Amino acid sequence: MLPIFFGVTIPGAVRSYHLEPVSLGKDLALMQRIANGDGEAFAELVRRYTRMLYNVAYRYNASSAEDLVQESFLRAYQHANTFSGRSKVSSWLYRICVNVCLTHQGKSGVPMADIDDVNEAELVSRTEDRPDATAVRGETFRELEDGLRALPSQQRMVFILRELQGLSYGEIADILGMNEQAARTNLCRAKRRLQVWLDPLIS
Amino acid sequence: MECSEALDLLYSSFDGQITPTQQSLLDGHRRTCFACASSMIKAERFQELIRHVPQLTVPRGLEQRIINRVVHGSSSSTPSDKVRSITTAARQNWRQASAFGGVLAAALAVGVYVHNASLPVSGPPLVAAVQGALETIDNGTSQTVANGTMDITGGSTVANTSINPAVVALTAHLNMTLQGGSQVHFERVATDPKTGNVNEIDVHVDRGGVQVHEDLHHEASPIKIATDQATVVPTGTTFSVDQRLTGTHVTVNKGSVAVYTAGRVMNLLAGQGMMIAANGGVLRDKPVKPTTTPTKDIVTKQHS
Repeated sequence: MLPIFFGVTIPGAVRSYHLEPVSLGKDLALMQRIANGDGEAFAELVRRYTRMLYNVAYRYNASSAEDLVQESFLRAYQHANTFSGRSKVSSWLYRICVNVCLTHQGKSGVPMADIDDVNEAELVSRTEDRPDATAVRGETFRELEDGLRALPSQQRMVFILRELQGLSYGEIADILGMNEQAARTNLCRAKRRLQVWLDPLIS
Repeated sequence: MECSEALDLLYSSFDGQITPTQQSLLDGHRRTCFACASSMIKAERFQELIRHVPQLTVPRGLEQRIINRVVHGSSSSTPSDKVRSITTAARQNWRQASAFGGVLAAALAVGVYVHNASLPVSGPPLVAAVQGALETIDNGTSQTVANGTMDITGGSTVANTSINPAVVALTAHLNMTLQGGSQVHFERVATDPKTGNVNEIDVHVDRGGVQVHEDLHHEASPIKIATDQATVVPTGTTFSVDQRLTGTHVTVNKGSVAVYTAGRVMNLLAGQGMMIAANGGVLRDKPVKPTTTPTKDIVTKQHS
């Protein structure tokens, strides 16, 4: 039952069990050059896909995002010869990054308050009365990121891949090693919780 | 149509994956259910918000740092030796724990069933000891386990169908008591296949209440208890989470927990409690004297 990732067993990681469309020829050629130790080819891969992976890693764990991206590219470089071309390079990299994120135990970085330090009147106030309700959109996005990090990891990753990266349910199912219905269920649960989390800002 | 079903349909409609018939049902429900209409407006605002979440730009110099680190720092045949893997570092922090498998004494008159849904499994199952009777249901087939061990994976649902509490020992440090009539869903369980150590347990309380007993120890707790209103993360403690119709009630008997709820994170210490209402409002309990934790007693009895 445990995923085997590039021949290395990774606890908590997931394994794809779907075949994907055949990769474009130029992607396959790029990966073959990387597998042969071509540093320029790897640099091209990094320039093409760093932003994509950084967005996933940052939404998953902002404080470790750079480390997560570097680790993902390191694994891609080390195992470039295992890329078979049955999937898009982007899907292959997503899968690596997701496994790196899911196996990384990081702190959320969310500031914490002691309940005794909070004014009672504020605690029982209606949500629209809270200072948060006047937050600007940038603050709302930060709240969303905090809410994301409070989600169970699987829900968090489905939300990131679907809503922020725009992947199809089929791609998400393949990357996370689940069926499409499970991806939809995880997304619904994630949205319900995030909506509650952000209630003061969207009421 | 139930309100929760309507909200699910609304989420599906955002994906454009709703049939005309479903759309008609949704529209009808929306016209007749005032409370639901309000939730749907919020859902639409939420969807609009996440549509505008910007793509982040890459920090200056990150690409070059990756290239330097990987290509220029990996001329040897084993580049991984030169780069400290963060996942390896994380694994070093995993707790020394194993699910214990002895037959449990002090049986409680309980009925618990486990349903393994078709969600992904992360690693091997967690082998948990349960006090009382167990019923496992897989693909519609049920199996009863009395005072024994059960496998829990991501996707397992566990319910206590009796009026008496049931205890599930998740690790050597961590027990969870399900109150009568309660039900939880294990959303993710991650274990080390070699050592059996548990590094993540995400539990959602579908209904009723659970009490978590955790021995104080050096490693980070693997468990998160979530409800519709809050996520509770222990820091070596004994605490209770109740999912009620009116909201979520959290109390702490020992140690402390972090409660993640709408727009804030609260730290609850022993003797403190709070109610998170369905509308997001939070009310603090009056202070109570912390009770003695039964954690070690339970573990001792289970092994005797």
